[in-house]
Amino acid sequence: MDAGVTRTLQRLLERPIGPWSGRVWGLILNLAGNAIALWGVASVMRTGAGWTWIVIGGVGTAVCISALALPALESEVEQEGDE
Amino acid sequence: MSDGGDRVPVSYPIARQIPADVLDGEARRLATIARAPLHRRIGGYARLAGPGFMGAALTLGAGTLTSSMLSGATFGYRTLWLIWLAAGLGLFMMAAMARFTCKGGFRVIQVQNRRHSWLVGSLMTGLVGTAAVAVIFNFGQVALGTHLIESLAPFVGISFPAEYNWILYVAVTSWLILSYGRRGGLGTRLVETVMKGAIALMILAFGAVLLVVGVDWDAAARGFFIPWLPGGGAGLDLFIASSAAAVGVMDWVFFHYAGLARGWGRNHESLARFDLVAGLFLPFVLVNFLVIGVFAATLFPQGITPESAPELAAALMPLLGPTWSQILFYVGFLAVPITTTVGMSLAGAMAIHEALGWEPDTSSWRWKLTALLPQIAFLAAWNARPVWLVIAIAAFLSLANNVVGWSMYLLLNDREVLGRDRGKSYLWNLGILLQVTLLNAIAIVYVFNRLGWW
Repeated sequence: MDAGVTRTLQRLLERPIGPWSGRVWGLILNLAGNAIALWGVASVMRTGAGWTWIVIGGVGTAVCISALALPALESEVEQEGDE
Repeated sequence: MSDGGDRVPVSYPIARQIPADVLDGEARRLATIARAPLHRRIGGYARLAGPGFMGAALTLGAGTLTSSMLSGATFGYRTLWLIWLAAGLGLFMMAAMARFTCKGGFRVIQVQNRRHSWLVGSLMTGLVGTAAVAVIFNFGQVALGTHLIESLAPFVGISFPAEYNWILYVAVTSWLILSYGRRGGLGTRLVETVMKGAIALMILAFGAVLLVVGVDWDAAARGFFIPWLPGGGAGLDLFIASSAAAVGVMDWVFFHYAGLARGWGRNHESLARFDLVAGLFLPFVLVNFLVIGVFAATLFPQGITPESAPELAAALMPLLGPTWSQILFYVGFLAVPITTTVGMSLAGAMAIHEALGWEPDTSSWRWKLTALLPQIAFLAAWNARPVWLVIAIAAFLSLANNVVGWSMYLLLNDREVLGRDRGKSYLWNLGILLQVTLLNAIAIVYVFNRLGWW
């Protein structure tokens, strides 16, 4: 992933958005992605149709997990300490 | 807690009973071990390890073993790969617990209360995810343990039905439970040694039985390395349940507090990680492998698939051949519920104290009462089981475990909680998130089931 995009994502994850941080919202989005994918699986098992939901939910889950796995940014104090 | 640099670990009350010279001696030994060659390092760590083995003994309970027996009897060796995948995935979260114990030096439920509310910390993690589970799941342990004692008795020419032998079961497990944290840390080491011995007994007993019944090494190797699942919803259910349930909230909480009770601090993280791999992961995989192997070699070819652990064990007996192998199987199997009862009772007592803000004092009546609370499961000797409670707890667990997982993930990445010691590895976070996603899946499938969609 591009370094600039990574830093933007990391800032977004730590920033408060409404009552929670971006990381908490990411977990909620991941849960929604999981539910969509499993809804698709349930539909496929019942009717044979629903592959689109599986793909949408699966991609959503993969994107959320990839972003949420980014660790928190180093603070300026930490960076100075490392130098 | 804003700076992770110079933090002195908070002393957990149970650890305060360990004499300072013992803790200093262990710290010196750790420093020496860290500089030693690999083989000596492994030996040294193995002697100092403990909470990981306790975790394995706790996890290897009636439920896990019944599931493995059923897997072996129904699918042969083909689901062996799920065992190492499930336990391996659980290690990421357990490593986070080791970080909280060693470098965080805090008591996780208290920090959850402060950062994520009492609902997530005390209620979901402590009271329901650990304490209630300890009480409810102990019914299964007592039912299995008393049945095994009853089955063993005729081999020595006596009859010892469950309605009477529960006294022996409760006495032995209560003695071990109440020994923990006593006599300046010696009690803790005693319990850990018994747990290590019990795991060794399981491995020896099931291993010997497997040698008697024989192993199809080719099929076992394929089952271990090549993923396979039954078709349809059953396959997905099996995958989700096995992958996410091997190591759960109670295991996380217990490993964390058992480490604090040993006085683990900043220099113990390497030992804690060794303990997770050698004490928890390897025994878990090995014991499950042996049990699946025994049933894959015996009941699977005959197409016999009983539903409960006692029925499975009884169906196995005529196929084991010599009497000594039958006794060995029962003895190894008896170690399973005994160690789980002990581990769960201790985890429950720790969790209740943390959730209610009580200081744990192992000599107090409050500790003894909370630690012995799961022994109410002696009623299982008469087949009594609080079914409504089991259903309620299972529902709550299905819906709450993932939220506790979220909380742990957030704490590991929380600069205000761990300072410089927060998780900085992409792969570590990824592993935790995969487990969290599986826990999400359990909650979602539960809701879908209730709505009739699954």
